[in-house]
Amino acid sequence: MNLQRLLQKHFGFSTFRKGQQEIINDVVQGKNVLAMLPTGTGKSICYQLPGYILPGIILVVSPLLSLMEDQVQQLKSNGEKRALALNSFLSLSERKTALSNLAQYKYIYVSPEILQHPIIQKKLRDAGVSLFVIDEAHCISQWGHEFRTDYLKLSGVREILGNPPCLALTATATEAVRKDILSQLQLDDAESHIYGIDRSNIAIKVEEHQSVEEKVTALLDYSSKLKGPGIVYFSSRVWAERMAALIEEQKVGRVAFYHAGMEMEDRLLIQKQFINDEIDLICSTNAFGMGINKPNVRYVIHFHFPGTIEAYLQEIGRAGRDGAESLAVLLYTKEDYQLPAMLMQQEVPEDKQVSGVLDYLFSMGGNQLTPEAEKSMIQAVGLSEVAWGFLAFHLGKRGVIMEDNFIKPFDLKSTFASLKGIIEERTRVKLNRLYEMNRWLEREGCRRQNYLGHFDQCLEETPEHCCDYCGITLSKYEKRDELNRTRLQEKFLWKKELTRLFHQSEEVGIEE
Amino acid sequence: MNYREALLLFCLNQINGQRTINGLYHLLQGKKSSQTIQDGKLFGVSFLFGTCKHINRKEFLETVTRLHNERFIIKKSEDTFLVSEPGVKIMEGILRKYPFPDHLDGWAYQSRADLFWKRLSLYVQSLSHLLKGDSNFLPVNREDNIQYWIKKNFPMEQNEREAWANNLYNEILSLLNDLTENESTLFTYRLSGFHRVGLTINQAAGRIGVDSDFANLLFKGILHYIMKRLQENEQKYPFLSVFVKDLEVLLPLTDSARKTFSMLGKNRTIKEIAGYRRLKESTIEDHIVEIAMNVPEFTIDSFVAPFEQEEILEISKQLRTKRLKPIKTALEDRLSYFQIRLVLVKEG
Ligand SMILES: [Zn+2]
Repeated sequence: MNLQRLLQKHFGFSTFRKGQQEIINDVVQGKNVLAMLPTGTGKSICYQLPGYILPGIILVVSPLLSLMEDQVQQLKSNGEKRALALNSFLSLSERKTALSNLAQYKYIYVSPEILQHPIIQKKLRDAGVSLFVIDEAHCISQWGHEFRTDYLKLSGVREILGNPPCLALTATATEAVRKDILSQLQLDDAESHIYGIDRSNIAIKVEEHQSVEEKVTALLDYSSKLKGPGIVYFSSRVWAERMAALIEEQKVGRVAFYHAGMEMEDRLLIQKQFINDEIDLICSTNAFGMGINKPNVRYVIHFHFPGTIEAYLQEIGRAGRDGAESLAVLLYTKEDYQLPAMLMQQEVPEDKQVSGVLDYLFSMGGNQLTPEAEKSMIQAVGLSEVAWGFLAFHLGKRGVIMEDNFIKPFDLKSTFASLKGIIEERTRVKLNRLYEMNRWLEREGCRRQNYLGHFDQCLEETPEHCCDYCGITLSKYEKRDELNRTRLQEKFLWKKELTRLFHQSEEVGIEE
Repeated sequence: MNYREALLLFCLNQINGQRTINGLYHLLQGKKSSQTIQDGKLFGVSFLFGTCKHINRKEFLETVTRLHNERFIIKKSEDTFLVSEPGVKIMEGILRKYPFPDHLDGWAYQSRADLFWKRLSLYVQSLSHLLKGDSNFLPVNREDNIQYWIKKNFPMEQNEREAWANNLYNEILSLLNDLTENESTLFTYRLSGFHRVGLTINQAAGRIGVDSDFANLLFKGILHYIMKRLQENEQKYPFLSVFVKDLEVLLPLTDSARKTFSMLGKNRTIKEIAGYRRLKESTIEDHIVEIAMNVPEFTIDSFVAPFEQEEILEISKQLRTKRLKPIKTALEDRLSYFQIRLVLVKEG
C-alpha cells in the first residue's frame, strides 16, 4: 500500500510532516507505539490514516468531550461519515442505537470513563478493534492518579478487547511521564518515536510585574498593539469576561470571551467566529483551544499561568501552526504563584474527611455500599466527587472496596496511614510541577533552552527570534497598518443581511 | 442596577414572599413540576417559564444576595423575600424602559422554542453554505438528534434547495417585518450563513446596545411570536411550519388525544373526527378538554365564543363554584357541559 497516496486521497496533503510516516509504518505493522510530536503538527493523522488500511475499528480514548466532538466533526467535514463520539452525554436511546450498530463505524472516540462499562467493552470486542489509541496520553500520568482514575484501568480494558496494538500519543511528556505512560499501559515492548517538541517559530517573552493593575495595563497595551488573531488565557471565567470587556472598550479589534460556563451553542459560535477570522482576540480559560485547528494564531498571552510547564507549552503551541512567526507572552506577579497552589490544596481530601469515610466504611464491614449510602456518606463528610473517586480507587486497589461495592473488614489505622501517604505523595508531585513552572519563570538564561532541558532535550539551533533573554524585536509582531486599528464596521441592515444569508438578489429584499 | 436584578425583583414582587426563591429558580429554569407550573400561573410569571436557563444556580443566588445587601429585598424567612419600596421603584423604572416583550410566553412555547431554534439555525446555515457549493463547514449545532432531523428534511436537488431558500426567506422576512427594528436585527444577527458566523446573544446585545439578559428575553419572545404565528396560520407559512410540526409530540397528551389534536389542526370538526376515527363524539370532547388542559396556546374560541366564556366565568365566580350543574342551570341550559368544562379547565 502506498501511504503517500492515501494521505493525498483522504486528507489532501502531498507530504507527511516530521515523524508521521515512521509512526504510521509501525502502527500498520501491528507494533505498539509511543509517539511524542510537537503540538499542532497533525498527530491525529497517525491513527486516522491507518484506519484506511486496518480492517477493524480505530478506538480513540480521548480526555475531553469537546476534543472528541471536534475530531468527529472534522472527520465528517472531510467526508468520513463513519465517525462516532461515544460519551455519557448521548441520551440512552442514542447510545442504544449507536451501540447496536457499532461495527458500522470506523473511528470511535470514547472517554476512559465510558470505556469501563462492561456492555460497551463487550460490544467493542464483538465489533473488533484494530487499534487502541490513547490521545493526549500524558493525561494518564497527569490526571490518572488524581481524579480520572479510570485512566489507570486502560490496560485491563485493552486486554478484554483482545489486546489490539496500542498507539499512545502525546505532545508534551517528560521522560518520567513517558515511563509512567508505558508502565501504566503495560507497553514494555513499545517502539518510541520521540521528536523535538520545540516550536522554533514561537518567540517567548516572560514579564514580571509588581501588581495586578500593572498586569492589566500591560495586557491592554499588548492587545492594542499586537497583530492578531490572538488568545489570552485566564485562570477564571470572571477574569476572562472582565478583561474582554475592558479590551473591547479600547476599540482596537473584535474581542470575545470563552469559558466552560457558556452554553454549547455560544461556545460553538465563538469558536467558529475565531476560526473564520471574525474575531481578533479571545479571552479565555483553559477550556479553549484543545481540538481547535486554527493555523494563523499570531500570539498567545498568559495573564495567569498554568500549573505545569507541559500545560504551558500546549497552550502556547496553539500559536503559529502555519509555521509563520508568532509570539507568546506571559505576564506574572509574585503573588500569582499562590493561586494555583491554593487550588491544589483544595482538591485534595483533608485528614478529617479521610477518617470520616474510613469510619463509615469500617462500620459497614461485610456489607454492600449501596449508591444511596455512598451518596449520603459523601455529603456527610463534605467530600467532592472527584476526591471521593480518588479515595474509592485506592480503596479498591487495597481490596477494601470489593466487587459490587462490598466492603471487606479492614484495619483502620494502617489503611488511614496508607491513604494519607498516597495523598501526600500526589500533592507533593503536583506542587513540585508548579515549583518547576515557577522556577522556569524566574530562571536566568534562554527560555527555550530551559524548557527543553525540562524534557531532557537540547536546543539544536537558536532561532532568530528566540526569547526575551536572547532578544526579540517586539515591533515585528505588531500591527502594521493603522487602518486595521480603526476598522469601520459595515452598517448592519437586517433586510440586506437576510438576502445575503439566503442568497437572494438584493433588489428583492431592500425597499429603501 | 442591571436587567437581571430588575427581572428577579419583578418575580419576587409577584410571588410576594409566598414561595421560596428555590421555586422561582425552578420556574426560570423551566423545570416542569406541577408545583412550578401552578405557581407560575398563580403569580402571573408563567410567561418567564424556562426563559432563563443560562442563569446557573450560583449566579442566581449571587444576584439574590446582592439585592438583599442593597436592601432592595427584605428577608421574610430563611428563603423567602419581600421587595422593598425602593426595590419596587427602581424595578418599575427599568421595566418601563425595557418592558417584557409582548410575545414572550415561556409557559406556552419555551420547551419547543429551543428545538425550533436549533433546527432552524442549522438548516439555514446548511442551506446558505450548500447553495454556494461549500459542504465542508463546521455546523452550529452538533446534537445528533438535530443533525438527524436536518438530514431527514433537507432537499437533495439544487433547485429544491433554491426553492427552500426563497420560501424560507420570504416567510422569515414577512414575520420579521411585523417586529421592531431592534428585534428583527437581533434575530438576523443570530443566524449563521456562508458569509458570516452568527452572534451569541451576548454579542448581539452589544451590537444593538442593550443588556444581554434583556436581549435574551427579546430573542425568546421573537421565537415565541414566530411559533404562535405558525400555529395560527399554518397555510401562510408552509415552510417554517415544517420545523415545528412534529414538536407536538413533546406535549403531555395521551396518544389518542394527540391524534385528535393533529386533526383539529387541519380544521376538522368534532363530528368529522369522530366519524373518521370511529369514536364517540363525547370521546373526542374528552380529548379536547385534555388538550385545553395541557396545551396552553390551544384556543377554545371555536368551541365557545369569547363572550360566552366570560359569561361562564362570571357565573362561576358569582356562585363560587366550579361544579358544572349549577352553572349550566344558571345559564338556562344555553351552553353544554362540554363547553362549560372547557372554559373552566382553560382558566385553571
Ligand atoms: Zn532564547
